[in-house]
Amino acid sequence: MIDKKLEQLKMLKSISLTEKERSVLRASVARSIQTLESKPRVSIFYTGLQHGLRIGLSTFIFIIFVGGSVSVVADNSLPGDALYSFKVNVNEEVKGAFIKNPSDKISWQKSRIDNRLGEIKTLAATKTLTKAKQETAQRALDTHIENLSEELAKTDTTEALKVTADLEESLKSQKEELKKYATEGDEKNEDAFKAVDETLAKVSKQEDKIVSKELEKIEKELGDDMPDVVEEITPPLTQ
Amino acid sequence: MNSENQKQALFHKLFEEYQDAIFRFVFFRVGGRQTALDITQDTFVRLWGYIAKGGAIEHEQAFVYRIAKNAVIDYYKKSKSSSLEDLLDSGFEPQTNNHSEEILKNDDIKMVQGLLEELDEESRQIIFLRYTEEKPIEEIATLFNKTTNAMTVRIHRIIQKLKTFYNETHYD
Repeated sequence: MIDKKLEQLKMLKSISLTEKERSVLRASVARSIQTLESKPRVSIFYTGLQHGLRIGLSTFIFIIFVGGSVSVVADNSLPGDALYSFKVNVNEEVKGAFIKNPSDKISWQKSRIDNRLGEIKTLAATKTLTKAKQETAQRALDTHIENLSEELAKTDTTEALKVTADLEESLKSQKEELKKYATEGDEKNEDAFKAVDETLAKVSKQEDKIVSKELEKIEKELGDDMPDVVEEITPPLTQ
Repeated sequence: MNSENQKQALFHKLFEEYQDAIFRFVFFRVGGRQTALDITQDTFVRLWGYIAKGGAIEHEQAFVYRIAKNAVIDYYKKSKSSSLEDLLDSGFEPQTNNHSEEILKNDDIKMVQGLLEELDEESRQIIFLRYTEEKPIEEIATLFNKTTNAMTVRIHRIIQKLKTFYNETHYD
Protein backbone atom coordinates (compact mmCIF):
# COMPACT_ATOMS: atom_id res chain seq x y z
CA MET A 1 0.00 0.00 0.00
CA ILE A 2 2.63 2.51 1.05
CA ASP A 3 4.69 1.66 -2.03
CA LYS A 4 1.82 2.82 -4.22
CA LYS A 5 1.44 5.98 -2.22
CA LEU A 6 5.13 6.70 -2.53
CA GLU A 7 4.83 6.20 -6.27
CA GLN A 8 2.58 9.26 -6.25
CA LEU A 9 5.60 11.32 -5.34
CA LYS A 10 6.60 11.03 -8.98
CA MET A 11 4.01 13.69 -9.65
CA LEU A 12 6.24 16.15 -7.89
CA LYS A 13 8.73 15.74 -10.65
CA SER A 14 6.56 17.85 -12.89
CA ILE A 15 7.15 20.79 -10.58
CA SER A 16 9.71 23.07 -12.08
CA LEU A 17 10.72 26.70 -12.10
CA THR A 18 8.55 29.05 -14.10
CA GLU A 19 10.30 31.15 -16.72
CA LYS A 20 9.99 34.15 -14.45
CA GLU A 21 11.44 32.24 -11.50
CA ARG A 22 14.22 30.96 -13.70
CA SER A 23 15.14 34.51 -14.71
CA VAL A 24 14.96 35.72 -11.12
CA LEU A 25 17.15 32.84 -9.96
CA ARG A 26 19.70 33.44 -12.70
CA ALA A 27 19.88 37.16 -11.92
CA SER A 28 20.05 36.60 -8.13
CA VAL A 29 22.79 34.02 -8.41
CA ALA A 30 24.76 36.26 -10.79
CA ARG A 31 24.37 39.20 -8.40
CA SER A 32 25.40 37.14 -5.37
CA ILE A 33 28.42 35.79 -7.20
CA GLN A 34 29.44 39.28 -8.26
CA THR A 35 29.12 40.46 -4.68
CA LEU A 36 31.24 37.54 -3.52
CA GLU A 37 33.92 38.25 -6.09
CA SER A 38 34.05 41.99 -5.68
CA LYS A 39 36.57 43.28 -3.18
CA PRO A 40 35.15 43.94 0.26
CA ARG A 41 33.85 47.46 0.35
CA VAL A 42 35.43 49.77 2.81
CA SER A 43 33.28 52.49 4.28
CA ILE A 44 33.89 56.04 3.16
CA PHE A 45 34.60 56.97 6.76
CA TYR A 46 37.26 54.27 7.05
CA THR A 47 38.73 55.20 3.66
CA GLY A 48 38.73 58.83 4.70
CA LEU A 49 40.32 57.97 8.01
CA GLN A 50 42.96 55.86 6.30
CA HIS A 51 43.57 58.62 3.77
CA GLY A 52 43.82 61.16 6.54
CA LEU A 53 46.21 58.97 8.51
CA ARG A 54 48.30 58.45 5.39
CA ILE A 55 48.50 62.18 4.78
CA GLY A 56 49.19 62.81 8.46
CA LEU A 57 51.93 60.22 8.56
CA SER A 58 53.47 61.50 5.32
CA THR A 59 53.38 65.04 6.66
CA PHE A 60 54.90 63.93 9.94
CA ILE A 61 57.71 62.07 8.15
CA PHE A 62 58.17 65.07 5.84
CA ILE A 63 58.41 67.40 8.81
CA ILE A 64 60.82 65.09 10.59
CA PHE A 65 63.12 64.68 7.60
CA VAL A 66 62.78 68.05 5.91
CA GLY A 67 62.26 69.90 9.16
CA GLY A 68 65.20 68.06 10.67
CA SER A 69 67.37 68.92 7.70
CA VAL A 70 66.27 72.56 7.84
CA SER A 71 67.01 72.59 11.53
CA VAL A 72 70.54 71.27 11.05
CA VAL A 73 71.26 73.67 8.18
CA ALA A 74 69.72 76.56 10.11
CA ASP A 75 71.98 75.90 13.10
CA ASN A 76 74.95 76.96 11.02
CA SER A 77 73.31 80.04 9.55
CA LEU A 78 74.49 83.59 10.20
CA PRO A 79 72.64 86.92 10.24
CA GLY A 80 71.48 87.68 6.70
CA ASP A 81 71.02 83.99 5.80
CA ALA A 82 67.57 82.77 4.80
CA LEU A 83 67.43 80.30 7.68
CA TYR A 84 68.79 82.62 10.35
CA SER A 85 65.32 83.53 11.55
CA PHE A 86 64.49 79.81 11.76
CA LYS A 87 67.60 79.25 13.86
CA VAL A 88 66.88 82.03 16.34
CA ASN A 89 63.09 81.84 16.51
CA VAL A 90 62.49 78.10 16.12
CA ASN A 91 65.55 76.00 16.85
CA GLU A 92 66.72 77.95 19.88
CA GLU A 93 63.21 78.63 21.19
CA VAL A 94 62.37 74.91 21.01
CA LYS A 95 65.56 74.00 22.84
CA GLY A 96 64.87 76.70 25.44
CA ALA A 97 61.33 75.42 25.98
CA PHE A 98 62.74 72.22 27.46
CA ILE A 99 64.83 74.04 30.06
CA LYS A 100 62.90 74.29 33.31
CA ASN A 101 65.54 75.15 35.90
CA PRO A 102 65.76 79.00 36.38
CA SER A 103 69.54 78.91 36.72
CA ASP A 104 69.84 76.87 33.50
CA LYS A 105 67.49 79.30 31.78
CA ILE A 106 69.77 82.21 32.69
CA SER A 107 72.79 80.30 31.38
CA TRP A 108 70.83 79.51 28.24
CA GLN A 109 69.94 83.15 27.58
CA LYS A 110 73.52 84.14 28.34
CA SER A 111 74.81 81.60 25.83
CA ARG A 112 72.42 83.00 23.20
CA ILE A 113 73.92 86.45 23.68
CA ASP A 114 77.38 84.95 23.33
CA ASN A 115 76.25 83.14 20.17
CA ARG A 116 74.95 86.36 18.59
CA LEU A 117 78.19 88.15 19.34
CA GLY A 118 80.07 85.11 17.98
CA GLU A 119 78.09 85.45 14.75
CA ILE A 120 78.96 89.12 14.50
CA LYS A 121 82.58 88.23 15.12
CA THR A 122 82.48 85.58 12.34
CA LEU A 123 80.94 88.04 9.89
CA ALA A 124 83.49 90.66 10.84
CA ALA A 125 86.34 88.16 10.42
CA THR A 126 85.11 87.21 6.94
CA LYS A 127 84.53 90.86 6.07
CA THR A 128 80.86 90.11 5.32
CA LEU A 129 79.27 92.08 8.13
CA THR A 130 76.86 94.60 6.69
CA LYS A 131 74.72 97.16 8.45
CA ALA A 132 71.64 95.05 7.76
CA LYS A 133 73.26 91.94 9.21
CA GLN A 134 74.45 93.86 12.23
CA GLU A 135 70.92 95.15 12.78
CA THR A 136 69.51 91.64 12.48
CA ALA A 137 71.95 90.37 15.09
CA GLN A 138 71.29 93.43 17.20
CA ARG A 139 67.54 92.80 17.23
CA ALA A 140 68.16 89.25 18.35
CA LEU A 141 70.58 90.48 21.02
CA ASP A 142 68.00 92.97 22.32
CA THR A 143 65.43 90.18 22.62
CA HIS A 144 67.89 87.93 24.43
CA ILE A 145 68.82 90.67 26.89
CA GLU A 146 65.12 91.28 27.59
CA ASN A 147 64.58 87.58 28.17
CA LEU A 148 67.66 87.45 30.37
CA SER A 149 66.35 90.39 32.39
CA GLU A 150 63.10 88.53 32.98
CA GLU A 151 64.97 85.49 34.19
CA LEU A 152 67.29 87.58 36.38
CA ALA A 153 64.28 89.22 37.99
CA LYS A 154 63.23 85.81 39.24
CA THR A 155 66.56 85.01 40.85
CA ASP A 156 68.34 86.52 43.87
CA THR A 157 70.35 89.71 43.46
CA THR A 158 73.77 88.24 44.16
CA GLU A 159 73.27 85.61 41.48
CA ALA A 160 71.84 88.19 39.05
CA LEU A 161 74.78 90.57 39.55
CA LYS A 162 77.21 87.72 39.12
CA VAL A 163 75.58 86.84 35.79
CA THR A 164 75.65 90.41 34.50
CA ALA A 165 79.24 90.85 35.62
CA ASP A 166 80.24 87.69 33.80
CA LEU A 167 78.36 88.82 30.75
CA GLU A 168 80.07 92.20 30.81
CA GLU A 169 83.45 90.47 30.95
CA SER A 170 82.45 88.26 28.05
CA LEU A 171 81.28 91.22 25.97
CA LYS A 172 84.48 93.12 26.63
CA SER A 173 86.46 90.07 25.65
CA GLN A 174 84.43 89.78 22.44
CA LYS A 175 85.12 93.42 21.70
CA GLU A 176 88.84 92.84 22.16
CA GLU A 177 88.69 89.94 19.75
CA LEU A 178 86.84 92.06 17.23
CA LYS A 179 89.63 94.56 17.35
CA LYS A 180 91.94 91.89 15.89
CA TYR A 181 89.96 91.98 12.67
CA ALA A 182 89.58 95.71 12.68
CA THR A 183 91.15 97.79 10.00
CA GLU A 184 91.23 101.46 10.57
CA GLY A 185 88.36 103.23 8.87
CA ASP A 186 86.60 99.94 8.07
CA GLU A 187 82.91 100.63 8.33
CA LYS A 188 82.04 96.98 8.80
CA ASN A 189 84.16 96.68 11.90
CA GLU A 190 82.65 99.83 13.19
CA ASP A 191 79.25 98.17 12.92
CA ALA A 192 80.53 95.17 14.82
CA PHE A 193 81.93 97.38 17.59
CA LYS A 194 78.67 99.24 17.64
CA ALA A 195 76.76 95.98 18.18
CA VAL A 196 79.02 94.96 21.04
CA ASP A 197 78.97 98.42 22.57
CA GLU A 198 75.20 98.59 22.42
CA THR A 199 74.94 95.18 24.03
CA LEU A 200 77.41 96.17 26.68
CA ALA A 201 75.40 99.29 27.36
CA LYS A 202 72.26 97.23 27.74
CA VAL A 203 73.95 94.78 30.06
CA SER A 204 75.22 97.70 32.16
CA LYS A 205 71.73 99.11 32.19
CA GLN A 206 70.48 95.73 33.31
CA GLU A 207 73.03 95.76 36.13
CA ASP A 208 71.79 99.19 37.18
CA LYS A 209 68.24 97.88 37.17
CA ILE A 210 69.21 94.98 39.35
CA VAL A 211 71.05 97.20 41.81
CA SER A 212 68.18 99.71 41.91
CA LYS A 213 65.72 96.96 42.50
CA GLU A 214 67.85 95.58 45.29
CA LEU A 215 68.10 99.01 46.91
CA GLU A 216 64.34 99.43 46.74
CA LYS A 217 63.97 96.10 48.41
CA ILE A 218 66.36 97.07 51.20
CA GLU A 219 64.53 100.39 51.68
CA LYS A 220 61.23 98.60 52.01
CA GLU A 221 62.64 96.15 54.50
CA LEU A 222 64.24 98.83 56.67
CA GLY A 223 61.49 101.43 56.39
CA ASP A 224 62.08 104.52 58.65
CA ASP A 225 65.36 103.15 60.00
CA MET A 226 66.97 103.55 56.62
CA PRO A 227 68.55 107.07 57.11
CA ASP A 228 70.13 106.10 60.41
CA VAL A 229 71.51 102.96 58.99
CA VAL A 230 72.89 104.87 56.01
CA GLU A 231 74.34 107.40 58.37
CA GLU A 232 75.94 104.71 60.43
CA ILE A 233 77.45 103.09 57.37
CA THR A 234 78.40 106.32 55.69
CA PRO A 235 79.22 109.00 58.37
CA PRO A 236 78.80 112.66 57.29
CA LEU A 237 81.79 114.03 55.40
CA THR A 238 81.68 117.16 57.51
CA GLN A 239 82.76 115.29 60.57
CA MET B 1 40.50 23.33 -13.21
CA ASN B 2 42.62 26.38 -13.02
CA SER B 3 41.30 28.64 -15.74
CA GLU B 4 38.47 30.99 -14.97
CA ASN B 5 36.72 29.95 -18.17
CA GLN B 6 36.75 26.31 -17.12
CA LYS B 7 35.32 27.16 -13.74
CA GLN B 8 32.58 29.27 -15.27
CA ALA B 9 31.78 26.62 -17.86
CA LEU B 10 31.39 23.97 -15.17
CA PHE B 11 29.22 26.22 -13.06
CA HIS B 12 26.92 27.12 -15.96
CA LYS B 13 26.61 23.46 -16.90
CA LEU B 14 25.64 22.46 -13.35
CA PHE B 15 23.31 25.42 -13.02
CA GLU B 16 21.43 24.63 -16.22
CA GLU B 17 21.36 20.93 -15.47
CA TYR B 18 20.24 21.00 -11.86
CA GLN B 19 18.31 24.21 -11.24
CA ASP B 20 14.91 22.53 -11.60
CA ALA B 21 15.90 19.40 -9.71
CA ILE B 22 17.35 21.40 -6.85
CA PHE B 23 14.36 23.73 -6.76
CA ARG B 24 12.06 20.72 -6.62
CA PHE B 25 14.17 19.03 -3.98
CA VAL B 26 14.04 22.15 -1.84
CA PHE B 27 10.39 22.91 -2.59
CA PHE B 28 9.42 19.39 -1.52
CA ARG B 29 10.94 20.13 1.84
CA VAL B 30 10.04 23.74 2.51
CA GLY B 31 6.78 24.11 0.61
CA GLY B 32 6.86 27.81 -0.28
CA ARG B 33 8.08 28.59 -3.76
CA GLN B 34 9.77 31.81 -2.74
CA THR B 35 11.61 30.12 0.12
CA ALA B 36 12.56 27.30 -2.24
CA LEU B 37 13.82 29.85 -4.74
CA ASP B 38 15.94 31.54 -2.06
CA ILE B 39 17.45 28.25 -0.90
CA THR B 40 18.08 27.21 -4.52
CA GLN B 41 19.89 30.50 -5.07
CA ASP B 42 21.92 29.93 -1.89
CA THR B 43 22.79 26.44 -3.14
CA PHE B 44 24.21 27.71 -6.42
CA VAL B 45 26.07 30.58 -4.77
CA ARG B 46 27.70 28.05 -2.42
CA LEU B 47 28.47 25.86 -5.42
CA TRP B 48 30.18 28.76 -7.19
CA GLY B 49 32.13 29.58 -4.04
CA TYR B 50 33.52 26.06 -4.05
CA ILE B 51 34.27 25.99 -7.79
CA ALA B 52 35.85 29.46 -7.74
CA LYS B 53 38.30 28.32 -5.07
CA GLY B 54 39.36 25.54 -7.41
CA GLY B 55 37.67 22.76 -5.44
CA ALA B 56 37.50 19.38 -7.16
CA ILE B 57 34.11 17.73 -7.76
CA GLU B 58 34.09 13.98 -8.17
CA HIS B 59 30.36 13.29 -8.43
CA GLU B 60 28.70 16.41 -9.76
CA GLN B 61 25.09 15.45 -9.11
CA ALA B 62 25.80 14.15 -5.64
CA PHE B 63 27.81 17.26 -4.86
CA VAL B 64 25.07 19.68 -5.94
CA TYR B 65 22.43 17.78 -3.96
CA ARG B 66 24.70 17.71 -0.93
CA ILE B 67 25.02 21.47 -1.03
CA ALA B 68 21.24 21.80 -1.40
CA LYS B 69 20.73 19.36 1.47
CA ASN B 70 22.98 21.46 3.70
CA ALA B 71 21.22 24.63 2.59
CA VAL B 72 17.86 23.11 3.58
CA ILE B 73 19.29 22.00 6.93
CA ASP B 74 20.61 25.51 7.52
CA TYR B 75 17.20 26.89 6.63
CA TYR B 76 15.54 24.65 9.20
CA LYS B 77 18.12 25.54 11.80
CA LYS B 78 17.23 29.15 11.26
CA SER B 79 13.46 28.81 10.99
CA LYS B 80 13.01 25.93 13.46
CA SER B 81 9.82 25.09 11.62
CA SER B 82 9.64 21.67 10.14
CA SER B 83 6.11 20.41 10.66
CA LEU B 84 3.80 20.14 7.71
CA GLU B 85 1.30 22.42 9.34
CA ASP B 86 3.92 25.05 9.84
CA LEU B 87 4.97 24.65 6.25
CA LEU B 88 1.39 24.96 5.11
CA ASP B 89 0.91 27.96 7.33
CA SER B 90 3.98 29.57 5.89
CA GLY B 91 2.15 29.26 2.55
CA PHE B 92 2.85 27.59 -0.71
CA GLU B 93 2.09 30.75 -2.63
CA PRO B 94 -0.33 28.99 -4.98
CA GLN B 95 -0.75 32.08 -7.12
CA THR B 96 2.81 31.69 -8.33
CA ASN B 97 2.30 28.24 -9.75
CA ASN B 98 -1.08 26.64 -9.76
CA HIS B 99 0.28 23.39 -11.08
CA SER B 100 2.53 22.81 -8.09
CA GLU B 101 -0.31 23.74 -5.77
CA GLU B 102 -2.59 21.24 -7.39
CA ILE B 103 -0.01 18.54 -6.97
CA LEU B 104 0.50 19.38 -3.33
CA LYS B 105 -3.25 19.39 -2.82
CA ASN B 106 -3.41 15.85 -4.14
CA ASP B 107 -4.67 13.66 -1.30
CA ASP B 108 -2.06 11.00 -1.79
CA ILE B 109 0.73 13.57 -1.88
CA LYS B 110 -0.62 15.30 1.21
CA MET B 111 -0.88 11.98 2.99
CA VAL B 112 2.66 10.97 2.04
CA GLN B 113 3.98 14.34 3.08
CA GLY B 114 2.25 13.90 6.40
CA LEU B 115 3.95 10.56 6.86
CA LEU B 116 7.31 11.95 5.80
CA GLU B 117 7.08 14.53 8.54
CA GLU B 118 7.52 11.66 10.97
CA LEU B 119 10.92 10.94 9.50
CA ASP B 120 14.22 12.62 10.05
CA GLU B 121 15.45 15.11 7.44
CA GLU B 122 17.91 12.73 5.80
CA SER B 123 15.28 10.00 5.39
CA ARG B 124 12.89 12.48 3.76
CA GLN B 125 15.56 13.48 1.29
CA ILE B 126 16.34 9.86 0.47
CA ILE B 127 12.66 9.19 -0.24
CA PHE B 128 12.41 12.25 -2.42
CA LEU B 129 15.46 11.29 -4.46
CA ARG B 130 14.29 7.69 -4.81
CA TYR B 131 10.59 8.27 -5.55
CA THR B 132 10.35 11.75 -7.00
CA GLU B 133 13.63 12.09 -8.82
CA GLU B 134 13.78 8.32 -9.36
CA LYS B 135 17.49 8.26 -8.73
CA PRO B 136 19.29 4.94 -8.73
CA ILE B 137 20.25 3.67 -5.28
CA GLU B 138 23.93 3.92 -6.26
CA GLU B 139 23.62 7.67 -6.84
CA ILE B 140 21.76 8.25 -3.60
CA ALA B 141 24.40 6.17 -1.80
CA THR B 142 27.13 8.36 -3.28
CA LEU B 143 25.28 11.49 -2.23
CA PHE B 144 25.07 10.30 1.37
CA ASN B 145 28.54 8.76 1.42
CA LYS B 146 27.16 5.23 1.90
CA THR B 147 27.72 1.99 0.10
CA THR B 148 24.96 0.82 -2.25
CA ASN B 149 24.11 -2.04 0.08
CA ALA B 150 23.92 0.24 3.09
CA MET B 151 21.63 2.59 1.16
CA THR B 152 19.42 -0.31 0.01
CA VAL B 153 19.01 -1.38 3.64
CA ARG B 154 18.40 2.20 4.69
CA ILE B 155 15.65 2.73 2.09
CA HIS B 156 14.02 -0.53 3.10
CA ARG B 157 13.98 0.54 6.74
CA ILE B 158 12.51 3.90 5.89
CA ILE B 159 9.70 2.27 3.95
CA GLN B 160 9.00 -0.09 6.85
CA LYS B 161 8.85 2.89 9.15
CA LEU B 162 6.44 4.69 6.83
CA LYS B 163 4.26 1.60 6.68
CA THR B 164 4.12 1.53 10.43
CA PHE B 165 3.13 5.22 10.55
CA TYR B 166 0.55 4.66 7.79
CA ASN B 167 -0.99 1.69 9.57
CA GLU B 168 -1.07 3.58 12.87
CA THR B 169 -2.79 6.49 11.16
CA HIS B 170 -5.31 4.56 9.11
CA TYR B 171 -6.22 1.59 11.28
CA ASP B 172 -6.52 3.23 14.65
